[in-house]
Amino acid sequence: MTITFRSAALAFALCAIAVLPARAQERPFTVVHYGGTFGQAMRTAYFDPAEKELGIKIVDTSRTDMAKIKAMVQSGNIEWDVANVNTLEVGRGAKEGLWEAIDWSVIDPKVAGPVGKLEYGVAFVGFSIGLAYNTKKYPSPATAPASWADFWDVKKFPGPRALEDRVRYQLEFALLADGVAPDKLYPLDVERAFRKLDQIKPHIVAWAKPPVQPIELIASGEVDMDSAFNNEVANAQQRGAPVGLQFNGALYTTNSWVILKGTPNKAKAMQFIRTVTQPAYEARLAELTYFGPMNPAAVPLVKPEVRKNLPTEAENLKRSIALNNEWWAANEAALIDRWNKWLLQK
Amino acid sequence: MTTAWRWGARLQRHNGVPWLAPFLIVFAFFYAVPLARMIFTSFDGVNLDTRHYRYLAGEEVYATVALLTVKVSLYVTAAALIIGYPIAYYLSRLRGSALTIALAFVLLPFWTSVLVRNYAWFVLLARRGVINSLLAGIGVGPLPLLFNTAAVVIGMSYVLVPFMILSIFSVMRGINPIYVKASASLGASRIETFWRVFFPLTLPGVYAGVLLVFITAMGFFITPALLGGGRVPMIAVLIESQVRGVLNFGVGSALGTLLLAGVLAIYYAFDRVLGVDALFGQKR
Repeated sequence: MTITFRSAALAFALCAIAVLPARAQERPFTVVHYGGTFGQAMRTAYFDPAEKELGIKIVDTSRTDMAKIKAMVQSGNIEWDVANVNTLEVGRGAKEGLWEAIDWSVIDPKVAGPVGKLEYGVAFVGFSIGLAYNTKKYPSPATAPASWADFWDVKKFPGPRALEDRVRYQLEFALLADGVAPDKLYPLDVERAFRKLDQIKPHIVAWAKPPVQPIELIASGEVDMDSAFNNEVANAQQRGAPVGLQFNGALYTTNSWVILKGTPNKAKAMQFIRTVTQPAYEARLAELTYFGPMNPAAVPLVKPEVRKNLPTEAENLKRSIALNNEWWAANEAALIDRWNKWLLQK
Repeated sequence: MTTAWRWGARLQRHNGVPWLAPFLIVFAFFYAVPLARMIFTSFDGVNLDTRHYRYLAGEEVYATVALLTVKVSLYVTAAALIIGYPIAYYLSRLRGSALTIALAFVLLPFWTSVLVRNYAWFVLLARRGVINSLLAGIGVGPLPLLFNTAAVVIGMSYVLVPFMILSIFSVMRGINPIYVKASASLGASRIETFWRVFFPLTLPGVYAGVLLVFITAMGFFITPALLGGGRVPMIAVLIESQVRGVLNFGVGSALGTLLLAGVLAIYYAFDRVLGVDALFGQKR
């Protein structure tokens, strides 16, 4: 069969005729989050009541993806209005021009708790990531690993381990294991952290994908220890999985609401954030997820038996270390590249 | 003559190519345009800057990734061929309902989600999984079967074997059994008949299967990402971490373009050595 130029031209001409401009559809107000049990809890605690209070339809979706957000803002095709991001992404995204400025005349800065008034984000939950271990292998707290130094101690605690597949949090864990005092952690000594990580690398069986895989690895017996978020551990314990969490040496971090730059629904977005940061809303989420609410007025509303498991509870907070968002916002991009290369090395 | 007849005659002169229009629309919008954009992005758009390529060339680790990708793809292709050829042969000897049932078994995996099929290997290969539990019964300690290159090769071979089987089977089916009978009647042993008569006739299917499986394996993402546990960085896994982790669309696009160039080079090499017509059973 010979394809002449005329035949091909005719074919393409038919293509061109068939191309019709796509009509932009009116899309509903959309919030994106990290999915999993966290996202499901937000549907119950935040989105359904907010729909009633504000009288608008709220569509929620997962998973927050900085690459997608960057692509959306660059192309002008905004699919998400409000995003739930880790607070360190607020600074990082602001540098790339991804967020709208928060209108603090609409919200009381006190709702953002200890994080306070950020230019581009409103903090709403706090949670901790710490050493998670298999409670079948270490049934009593006395024998369980008690610090990151124990995680690195393969003689005293032999067995397969895992860590998350990203650089965030790992540098702090390595430095704590190397004996750095919590109040002297920041600015992080990156070289020292990577040297320490080299020591544990041969014993890492898998680089887990957060937030759920670390729990799966422990529950299935693939590893004895890894790092996991307190809400995932609490949820797993409720399901009967043999996972325990060590608050000593845990990193306390927060999540914030941000508004994507260029969204057509900026006013609605501000109203949404104002609504869900009210005390009753944040207390509801705390009871469902074991996340610490940022709004101080929300804490007294949380049921007592849940309150003592919150990462913001006094005892737990004392043993945790607050993540330095500014340091990560400034340094994460370069470190991700270095981390990926480090992972590729033997 | 009617108008319709004359229009029909006109279109016929173009050998039916205009009927490709629907396919070409889909191809252009969902394949050609995004691919061109990716190549464009790798050169930083209108700047035509090669900095992303220079960055990749400057780091040793990326050469390691390329070598690992080729190595794993070769293992997978070899495994698919070794497993797939005998199965295709067995299928080609079946007739009637036996053939239908057997083909259904080969095709069934295509109707199952590839994610589910990969997760099934978790259950089999895990430290306390099925295989290790059986081994524990005979006193062999838990073997590290998961989160390494072996697991990835196993998982990928499992997904790609049906492609190899179907490629070879379709050619085997078309081989006239009279050749085998003629060879036997001329006094050749069974091995001689297979090696010198039957096997060369199946080569077009083997070539097609090998090419298909190897090229697909080069670009594979799900299996190395899941079963590799972050420890088997094939090129697609690296592209994902560049785009989603580092947010570096430029380097990600450069990697994608390099993969495309590599695959085209393989196809070109295949054509020079064997001739693409070999895929269709015609000698050069």
